[in-house]
Amino acid sequence: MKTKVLNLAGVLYEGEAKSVNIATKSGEVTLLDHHRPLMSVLASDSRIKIEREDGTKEAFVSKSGFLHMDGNNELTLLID
Amino acid sequence: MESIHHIRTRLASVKNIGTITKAMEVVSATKMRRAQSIALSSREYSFAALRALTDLLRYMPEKALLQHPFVAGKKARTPITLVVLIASDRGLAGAFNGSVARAADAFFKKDRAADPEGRESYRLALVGKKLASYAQKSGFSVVETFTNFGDYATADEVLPLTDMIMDGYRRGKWERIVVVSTHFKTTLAQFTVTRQILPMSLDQVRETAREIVPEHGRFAELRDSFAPDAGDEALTEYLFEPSPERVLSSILKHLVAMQFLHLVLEANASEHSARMVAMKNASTNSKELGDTLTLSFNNARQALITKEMIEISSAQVAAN
Repeated sequence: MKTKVLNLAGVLYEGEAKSVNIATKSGEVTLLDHHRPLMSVLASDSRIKIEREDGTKEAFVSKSGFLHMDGNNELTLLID
Repeated sequence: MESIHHIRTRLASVKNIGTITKAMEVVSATKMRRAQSIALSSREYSFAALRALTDLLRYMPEKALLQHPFVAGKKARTPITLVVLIASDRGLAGAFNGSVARAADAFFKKDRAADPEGRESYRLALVGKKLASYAQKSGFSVVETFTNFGDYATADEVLPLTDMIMDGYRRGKWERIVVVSTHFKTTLAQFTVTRQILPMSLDQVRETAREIVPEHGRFAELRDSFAPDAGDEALTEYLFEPSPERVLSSILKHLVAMQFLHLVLEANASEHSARMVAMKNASTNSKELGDTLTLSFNNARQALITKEMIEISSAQVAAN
């Protein structure tokens, strides 16, 4: 899925991802391809773990934020 | 006529000042361009937040948005408005700081006229040292002064400001937040804007997101390249966690933070360009002054030579 991690300073991550693991206010979620559309508020100080197709990983820490998985298999994470 | 020595000293100092103002002009021009490009970097973020909001509003009755405290506002018997003035820590920027103060005065006058019973009271929050004396003169108490935002504000620097304001708003310390700042139109034209941030109106937020791309000059071509409202066309069944209301709060909070950062960044760009223009004028003036001084220097030197010649020839005549 197309994944974007954005903060006010710019784009932190933009690209394909196989899975994204995040702690939200209502529990930890792992988003895979074609996850059902979801908007969720991230837990404070949560770690965002992104895994690409080739197995390489990327991680970000967010103080607060929210995620937006839309119907076109695009995931956007807005973080502070 | 002034003595040659005196003119020479003045000429040297005028030239010195000219060099300094010229350097400041060039530095400000570079800083202005950098501030502009930094301001652009929050664009993706604001569009993403607006898109999420558009999607969310499709599944939520509009009433829910209109009743949200960030949008509906609160009623109080003696409402307090927090006026945030965004100016600079430094001077030598032409009318930049002064016009923010003037715009604030205009706002107070207009707002008081709309409130004949005089129930509204005001507090100030300042960005930049330069407006401290204005605040003192205005007689309103200053809640906090934020300084050292740097040449280009970063999200981290603006965060204390945003936090302080949103926290106070949520706890009912203030019923309304108004920002007086400078809008960067072009290098040569900036004008002050007075904007109500909270309670917010969606049109205002969209307008801010659109303004992230400057109207003229570099980057202007990006302005129409992205419609911030282009949400998901196909109706998709969304899942909202923990609840649509919580998601709405989170999005609105991010949009307010985005607006603040953007206002400060735009003020940064305006400050640098105002300083650039002011320094350009100063350089031109010092060049003109230098030319006049050079002329009178030449005059004085020639007069001295002529005088000596007369003395020599009259001495010769006397000797013959």
